[in-house]
Amino acid sequence: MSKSKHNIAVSVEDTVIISHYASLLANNDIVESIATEQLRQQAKQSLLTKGLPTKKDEQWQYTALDSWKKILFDYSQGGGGNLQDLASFLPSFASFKLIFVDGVLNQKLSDNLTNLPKGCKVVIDDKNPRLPSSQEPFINLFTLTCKQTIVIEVDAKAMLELPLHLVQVTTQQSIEATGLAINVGESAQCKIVQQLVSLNGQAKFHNGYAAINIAKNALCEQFVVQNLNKNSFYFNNQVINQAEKSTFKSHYINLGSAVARHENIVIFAGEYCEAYQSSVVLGNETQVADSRTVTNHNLPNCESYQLHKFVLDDYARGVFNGMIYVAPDAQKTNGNMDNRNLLLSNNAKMDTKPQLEIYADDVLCSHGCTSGQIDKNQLFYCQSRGIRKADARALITRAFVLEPLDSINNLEIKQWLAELIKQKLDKEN
Amino acid sequence: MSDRLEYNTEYEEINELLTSKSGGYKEGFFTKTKVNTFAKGLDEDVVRAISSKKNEPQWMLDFRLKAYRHWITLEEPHWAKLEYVPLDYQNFSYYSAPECSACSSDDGDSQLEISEVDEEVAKAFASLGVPVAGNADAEKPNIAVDAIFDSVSVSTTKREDLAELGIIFCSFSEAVHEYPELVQKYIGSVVRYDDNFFASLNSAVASDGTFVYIPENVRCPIDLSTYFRINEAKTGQFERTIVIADKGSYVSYLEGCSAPARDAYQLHAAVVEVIVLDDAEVKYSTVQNWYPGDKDNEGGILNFVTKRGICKGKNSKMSWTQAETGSAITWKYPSCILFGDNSIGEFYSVALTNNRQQADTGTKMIHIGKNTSSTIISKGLSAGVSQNTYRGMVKILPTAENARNFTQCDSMLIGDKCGAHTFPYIEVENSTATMEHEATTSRIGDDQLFYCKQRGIGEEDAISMIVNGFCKDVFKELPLEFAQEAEELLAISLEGSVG
Repeated sequence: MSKSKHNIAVSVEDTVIISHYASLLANNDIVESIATEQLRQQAKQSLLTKGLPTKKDEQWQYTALDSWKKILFDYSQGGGGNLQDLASFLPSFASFKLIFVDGVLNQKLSDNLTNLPKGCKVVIDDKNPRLPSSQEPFINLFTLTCKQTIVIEVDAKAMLELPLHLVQVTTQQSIEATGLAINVGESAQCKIVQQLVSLNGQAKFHNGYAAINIAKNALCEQFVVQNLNKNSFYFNNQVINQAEKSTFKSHYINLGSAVARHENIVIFAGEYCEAYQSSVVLGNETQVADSRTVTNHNLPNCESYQLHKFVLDDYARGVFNGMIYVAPDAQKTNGNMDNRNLLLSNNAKMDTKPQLEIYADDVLCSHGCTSGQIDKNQLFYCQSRGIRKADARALITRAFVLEPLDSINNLEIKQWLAELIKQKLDKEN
Repeated sequence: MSDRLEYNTEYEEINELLTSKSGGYKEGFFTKTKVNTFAKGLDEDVVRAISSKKNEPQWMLDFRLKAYRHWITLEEPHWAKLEYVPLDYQNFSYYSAPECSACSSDDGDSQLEISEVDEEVAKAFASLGVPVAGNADAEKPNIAVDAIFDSVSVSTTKREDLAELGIIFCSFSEAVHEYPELVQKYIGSVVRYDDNFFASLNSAVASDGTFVYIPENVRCPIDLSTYFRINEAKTGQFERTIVIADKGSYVSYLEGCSAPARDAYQLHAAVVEVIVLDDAEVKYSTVQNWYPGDKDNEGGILNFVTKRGICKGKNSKMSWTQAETGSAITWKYPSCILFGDNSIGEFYSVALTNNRQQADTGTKMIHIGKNTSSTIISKGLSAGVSQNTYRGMVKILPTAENARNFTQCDSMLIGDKCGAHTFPYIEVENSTATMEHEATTSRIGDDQLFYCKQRGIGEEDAISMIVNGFCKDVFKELPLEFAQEAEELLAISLEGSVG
């Protein structure tokens, strides 16, 4: 009984990949603090001892990484491609834009940082990237490769009407590991739109990490629109800390990438917090789209609501993994998680794990989950009223997938997101 | 915070009410009789010794050895949400049988003749209300019972009546001798010898169990049943049960169990294989009432069970119903492989944990055939400081056109120190499949209690009424007598729980 499955030596392939990413910053001119260096070393050690995730890892059994492992990504050497097409990707609503091309802030296209709305500070910190320490392989890869962190500070009581809009544009095959640190002050309110676009077919390895801290009574609403090309790989880990009576709203729109994995970890560090999390995931061809949430109800009287909708066509694979954890003293918790999936093709796959782990008795927790195809009766109803079958399918699919957007108050953003989703659906048809 | 204090006192009140009437674990007595028990420890010689004790043919010994050699390469699984120290498998005895003067242990046939049931053993079964040959209950009209005491089957009632219909109902050891071709064909066909750690262990050291074969187009007129009793200290019971329902047949099979209250852990690792052919139906009900250990987690049965049915033929149906109230640790996932077109799988479960019990239970529904459908209703109740987990998988393979699944798992928390968890795995690989899953977690509402009290129903009765209502969907699937037993068990197990 001496054999242990956990001590299998890390494969040569994994070692090559990890060493490659560890070497990316070797020629960095910046002298880093001892703490930063230590974190990077720790991350490297952790990766080298555990290796990269395989299908045998419980958390990765549905997310295949084979195609990602085939390419070793480097940082872009600058010089950007043709940016003329970018305009067509940008929404028409007013916002404060910061445009990063292949990981570098493009001053010409962005709004001037000196004109930021009152009560808000943005710093692009490349000297002291705020690195996380974790056991997660892709967070460790982030810690190993992160060059800069966008730090957004919202002052107490500031009400930012204008959304902050971060656009991350890809024109070259490259890795991007930009951190995001958002600190929302007491009673402040802000909206942050994060958009990822590819201007051509060049593959991107986006590995993001966001630390969002929301102070007492504050509200932070976040939109992540991932529309990279289908050669790209998207990984994003977000850790959200909420103080008393704060609200966090997150909307994740997954349209592109060969493999995409988005994870929110919400931690309630005060009572009477609220968190709304939604995702709209569209997948076709051989896309793999993974959306996951962990909601930690550590304290009493908090509420969390979730709605995740997947539409999968062709050979696409969807993964949803949600966990609601209720600590022993978190009485009066209200936790609700819904996952609805529509499979349009016979080869599409959906793997769902909606989990509840509950240690308190006075709680209302539920999860629901359905998978299926378009209801024949609904199709017939439309057809009997003169709507062609293809149109009816599109109509029903659209109605299905737009539901998570209902909780968005800002009409302009809502319409823009709806339009993006429709475009992708139409292209599929 | 004043709110919270109120709850605590409320629970204390209920607690007192219930403990004042507490009967505890009623089956916890111990039978003293002469036994033939192997020394503790497990190696290849022990496997050979078990086999020779039962005078088994070579193929059975080969099967055991193959399983044993595979088992030693495996590691004890700890992925379930159960906390237990790794077991020392050398510290259990792997064979124990009551000895009696009439049956010499080397005659190979461990099945005793009717008059030869050991007196003490017969008494034990009588006080458990289990009919065995010679006792007054044996002639109960509606049930045939195979009674298993530690490692051997001591009596099987109504065999002759059933034989007239062509039904084979006997102990597993007998079947190995009398129907070797059937056993050989089906053993390991649903749960392979290398399926998992505990299934391999069972395959290596399988003690006794029940063998049922229902011939074509026969509807078994009475319920078949097995009662398992673990008696010896520090022994393991490793029963192996095979149920085969040939084309167009029907059988309802029941399973009950209990063990003496001991202060050391006892091991129970069973394997059940059910094969359902065309148009046949098997209804498998279990009321599991192993000794759960005392309040401080001393002793109790460690229950690691692999149960699986395969709906091999078209239009076949496999239904699992279980009421789980006992065991210190429960690790059990009765599953259905829906292979035949139009086959149906069902799983109804009530799992109750109290004190320091831990249960990680659920099901697997593997849809392979066209138009297959499955229903899962799971009700978990946790009280005291127990942990109760539902872990289930619904897998719809690309070939399962128009598959259908409905899952509902509700958890109820009784007390604020227990945990209720739900870990469903849903894998859909066919777009024509429809699956629904819902789960809720809550507790007995104050307003529900108030409503009852206001109408003159005592707190204790109100709780038992609400709990029974919560479990009704499952109990209505149990055969009548069993449903009563389950309800009573639930009431007993809940005693002293609240607080």
